[in-house]
Amino acid sequence: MNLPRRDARDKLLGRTRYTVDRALPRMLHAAILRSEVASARIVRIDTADARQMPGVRAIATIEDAPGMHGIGIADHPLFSSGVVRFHGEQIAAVAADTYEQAKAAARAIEVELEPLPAVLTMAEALAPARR
Amino acid sequence: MCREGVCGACTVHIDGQPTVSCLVPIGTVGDREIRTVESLAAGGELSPLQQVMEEHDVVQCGMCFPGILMVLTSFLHERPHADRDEIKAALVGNICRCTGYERVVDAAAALARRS
Repeated sequence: MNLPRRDARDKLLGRTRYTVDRALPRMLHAAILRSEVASARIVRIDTADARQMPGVRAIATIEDAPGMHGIGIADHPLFSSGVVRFHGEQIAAVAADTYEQAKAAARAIEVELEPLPAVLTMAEALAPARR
Repeated sequence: MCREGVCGACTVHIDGQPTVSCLVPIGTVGDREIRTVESLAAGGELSPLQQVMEEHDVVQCGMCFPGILMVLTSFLHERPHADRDEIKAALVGNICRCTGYERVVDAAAALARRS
């Protein structure tokens, strides 16, 4: 069966507009604060300073989005929940008037972490008494 | 795009030279000629490279493609009869998450064989 993509030509011509290409008046911009360690207990997240920064409209953490999510199987939280489970896991999200403001506010969020050993192989993950 | 010169999606030609535009402050360009992917289809006709990519049904999400087209346009202009290995080497600066590259190389190699 031959089903050529109907949007291929626009993509080849550079005509396709992706969400990042679109800008609407008064739209907000998001920045995600991501963990720089692979495994840790979250002792404290303090967004108070970040909330005061210019242009910041909202900051979200696990408290704002509880529960498990996923496509087909709800197997992960939207933000780190109590522990960081991988390097780059999203700890918080900021919505601000500009992208630069959102990034600056994300950097101002205080996160205190207590390092935990990282589980890096399947064997370690399957060993008893691992999360 | 990565905004740090790694993925190649932002590649344009500056005075004919493929360049990652995300690393070039616009104020430094001056009088130099910039050509983007929109320039390839002169007069509304797909370029031979664009045509072969369409024929081989290569494009998926399309995010990497402007960069791939600009790199291959320049490369095949210099090496019109390049073989698969040379084409793969030419694409080393373009990251694609969708295609696995094989069809990109197949199409470029088919064009190189035709020339």
